Amino acid sequence: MEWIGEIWRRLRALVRRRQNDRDLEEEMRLHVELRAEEQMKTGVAPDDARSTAQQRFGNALLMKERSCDVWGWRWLETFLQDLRYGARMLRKSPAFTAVAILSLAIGIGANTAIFSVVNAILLKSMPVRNPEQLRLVLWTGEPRIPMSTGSGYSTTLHNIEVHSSFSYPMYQLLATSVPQFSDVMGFAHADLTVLAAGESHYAGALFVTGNFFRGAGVNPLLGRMLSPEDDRAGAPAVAVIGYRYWERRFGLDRAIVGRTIRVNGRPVTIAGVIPKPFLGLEPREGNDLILPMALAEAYGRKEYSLGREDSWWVQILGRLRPGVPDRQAWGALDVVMARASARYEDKPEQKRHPWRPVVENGAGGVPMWRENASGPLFILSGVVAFVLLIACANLANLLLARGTARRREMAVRLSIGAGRWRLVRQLLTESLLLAGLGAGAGLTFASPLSKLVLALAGGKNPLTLDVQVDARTLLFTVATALLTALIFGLAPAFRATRINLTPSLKDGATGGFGATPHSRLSRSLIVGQVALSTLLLAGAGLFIRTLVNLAKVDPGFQSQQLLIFTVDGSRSGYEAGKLLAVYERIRKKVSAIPGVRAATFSMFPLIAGSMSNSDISVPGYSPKGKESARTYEMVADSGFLAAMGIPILIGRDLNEGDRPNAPMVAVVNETFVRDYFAGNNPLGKIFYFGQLTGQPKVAKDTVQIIGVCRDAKYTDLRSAIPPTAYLSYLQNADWVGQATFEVRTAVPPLSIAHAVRRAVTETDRDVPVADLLTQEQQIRMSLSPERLAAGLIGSFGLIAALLAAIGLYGVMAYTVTRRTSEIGIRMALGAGCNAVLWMVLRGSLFMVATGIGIGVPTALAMTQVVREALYGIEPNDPVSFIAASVLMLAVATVAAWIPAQRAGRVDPMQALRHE
Amino acid sequence: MRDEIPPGTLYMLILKTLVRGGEMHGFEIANSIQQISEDVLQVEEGSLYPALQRMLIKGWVTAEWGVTAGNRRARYYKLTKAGRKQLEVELSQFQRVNQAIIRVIQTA
Repeated sequence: MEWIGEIWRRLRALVRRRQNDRDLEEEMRLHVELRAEEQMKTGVAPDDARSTAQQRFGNALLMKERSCDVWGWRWLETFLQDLRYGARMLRKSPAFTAVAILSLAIGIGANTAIFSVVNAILLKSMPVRNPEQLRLVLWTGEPRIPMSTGSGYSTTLHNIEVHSSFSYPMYQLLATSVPQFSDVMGFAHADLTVLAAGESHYAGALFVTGNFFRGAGVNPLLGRMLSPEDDRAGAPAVAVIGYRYWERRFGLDRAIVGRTIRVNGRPVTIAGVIPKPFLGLEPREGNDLILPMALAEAYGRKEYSLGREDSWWVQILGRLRPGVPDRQAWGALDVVMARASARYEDKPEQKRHPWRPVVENGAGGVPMWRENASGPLFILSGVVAFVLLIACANLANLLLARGTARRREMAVRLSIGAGRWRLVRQLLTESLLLAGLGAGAGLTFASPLSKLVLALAGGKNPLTLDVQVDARTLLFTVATALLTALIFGLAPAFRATRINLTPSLKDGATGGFGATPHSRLSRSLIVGQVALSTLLLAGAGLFIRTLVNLAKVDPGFQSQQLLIFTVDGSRSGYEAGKLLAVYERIRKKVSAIPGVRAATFSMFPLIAGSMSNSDISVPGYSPKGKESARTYEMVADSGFLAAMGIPILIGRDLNEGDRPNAPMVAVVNETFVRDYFAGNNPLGKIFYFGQLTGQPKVAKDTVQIIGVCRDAKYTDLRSAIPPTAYLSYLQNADWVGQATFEVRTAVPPLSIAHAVRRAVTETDRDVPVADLLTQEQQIRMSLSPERLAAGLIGSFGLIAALLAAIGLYGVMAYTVTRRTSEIGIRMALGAGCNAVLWMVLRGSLFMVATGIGIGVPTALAMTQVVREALYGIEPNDPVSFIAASVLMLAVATVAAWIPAQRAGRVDPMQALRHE
Repeated sequence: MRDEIPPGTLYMLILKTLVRGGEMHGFEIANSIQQISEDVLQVEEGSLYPALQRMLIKGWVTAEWGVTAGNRRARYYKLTKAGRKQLEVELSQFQRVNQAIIRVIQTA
């Protein structure tokens, strides 16, 4: 513990630095005086006494310095001194300082912004007790236990296909038989309809086992969290709510605890509010309400059964006991799972991959969405790193030029005895000051930028992520700034202090004509900058072209003048047939709104990422390879194709006559006909849902093709149009769940939004309207990741090119100044204005051409990485590459033109007189 | 003839002096070391002060401004508990090294 006292005493000494100095001086003076007096008493003359005393004392100044050094603050003093001096030097050249700080702010700020997103998505742990102990329990292989997935996800982790969900009985078995976990918690997501304060709305809910909050270690902000007592059959229905939901829906009303709301039509009492930092396990899903698992089936979805072994919907989070290795928990899970699976007979002809557990770090919540985000984040990180590198090269160049301007200052300091290391340190401190100021300025716009990135990346469901600048982000920024200062400051600092003293002290020394080491270095920096900028511009070109290509895609239906919105009556207690009647009532009511041409409804909107598909069997068609025939389906109101403007090519459209007792019919698209009927007329032909050999058992799975419609985009603009079958709700009432209404208008679509809401509310107060927007807005939103990529990379590319241009301008302007006398001689000897201009320009263009020459092949190699993200072009798209090169060349030519012109205007007389 | 004090023993000498003399200022410490060693050991007097600063950091001594007999302001140093302990450590170490050296030079 002694070192604590020592640090304390050292710090105190730092604060009382001045006082300490005075104390030391005083006691040393006293010492010498006392010694002198002692000598005088023995009869020595006063002068001799003093000198003897001083001699015996030794070098007082040195002793004092050594005494001060003991406290260990010397470096700080020197540093502060350097800092003050540096600040003075920066104030002296405001233009240089402004350009330097601005370019550093852009570089460091962009990196901080992207890092804070990376931090929020990939690095940050959940704000719970000891998050490092949390583990997600997943599985791989094939269980023998019969299963139908009710909820959850499948993804690839560490190159194996893993699945998230278990049945509730399986959860119970694992929760009680793996002692390596102190708590085993189950959870599942569901969307619910909530009626609160007389208004109904949709909310994202999480059903959790009673031990969830204790096990996760989340304490209430208000009221209480859920406990095992709440998670028992017959217990009063309670829920806790998330902070953002509390804020959004209840205006942070503290009287919320104890209030009753209706969830899917049933009363639930709010027991507490979750603290703001805890955003749930998966930020993509809503975490508005958290309810006990016991309510999952009644309040959530009918698949969420606690008793059924074949319904798999529970995700598992475990808290590992301290010091227990993952391996042990895995082993225990494996034994239990193998035993559970072994209870089921395995059919001899089936060879299954063994069913095994996967234990994954759960500190950051559910990993699936993070996996999806990591690719784009990787590309963005690379882009901003390049921008920073370019800014560094720029700074290094500016500093090199400045170093030359400060040659005399350095020479003077060296000649009066300053060590070279001391000067390097001084110059590096100045670089550090610049980097610090740049980082400070960068931080101010990092936060808005990272929020923008998240908002654009999220699209319709903005990520509810916390991207505050936290300690880790700050550390990143500081480290980046330090590293940046070293990268751009080191070479110029050494270069500036490597001085041949004699000529530098002489006024007017300009050095030789040839390429000095300085100009070689700064020329290579320019070449590097141009290369990197070209690379970024080419990348930007690819993403912009991708966006343009996607925006030009014909969706195959009329997307203008179309309003869409989604309702879900299934959660308000309506069952299939009744539900369809409600939707039909809404459709009629909406159709009657003035300005509406037609209204229809379908399972989900087009171009919204939603899809539904099934295996089918088509007589006469034999699948190639293992893939069976498969169609995407759209179950809709019979007026859907007409309202959407998807034309029928042959045969007829669905109509009201296609009733449940009539034969099941479908309209298929051109791709369907091409794929499964080799382009022959399919009218009257049959296909079956399911993989069949022989006749189907259920008549309803037999579908007759009555018409062929034109191809239309389905899930998104990017994917190829899949074989699609359009079916009528009337014949498929069991498919009815939530429904999206498409309203074709004669007036601007959003002008009837209010009337639409009223029409729905009048039909049923309990059915809220969600996602009301135009189809065009929907399509634009589906492209927001592409817009984000094109916008960000494009802006960064332009910034990079501008920085490179500034660098080029600086170097050329400096070169022209240095070569003024040479130019004067040339002109005196008869060189024309244009010849000189061209000579200077040629030098710049050579550098730029070299840079582009390096940048293009590098970009060609690197853009392969983004192949997947492009649309309608190859990664070597010539248009993008040529455009990038031309743009770079143009910007650079403008930058080089100005000094070149100045060179052309040199007056030979004046230039030579100067010499 | 005066001898420089062996390197590394200055702390020990200062500590020992303070044990004997209680509160002392720098001049007194220097004088005391010299007198007790019968003028054999000479401290380069100034070097006392960096050593005292180091001892302040280590917490072996504390310093307090006071007034001398001649009515002048002086900084008085006093041993702390940690300082006493340190003295024991230094003494035993010194004796160990000393004995070892003596053994080496006395072995024929």
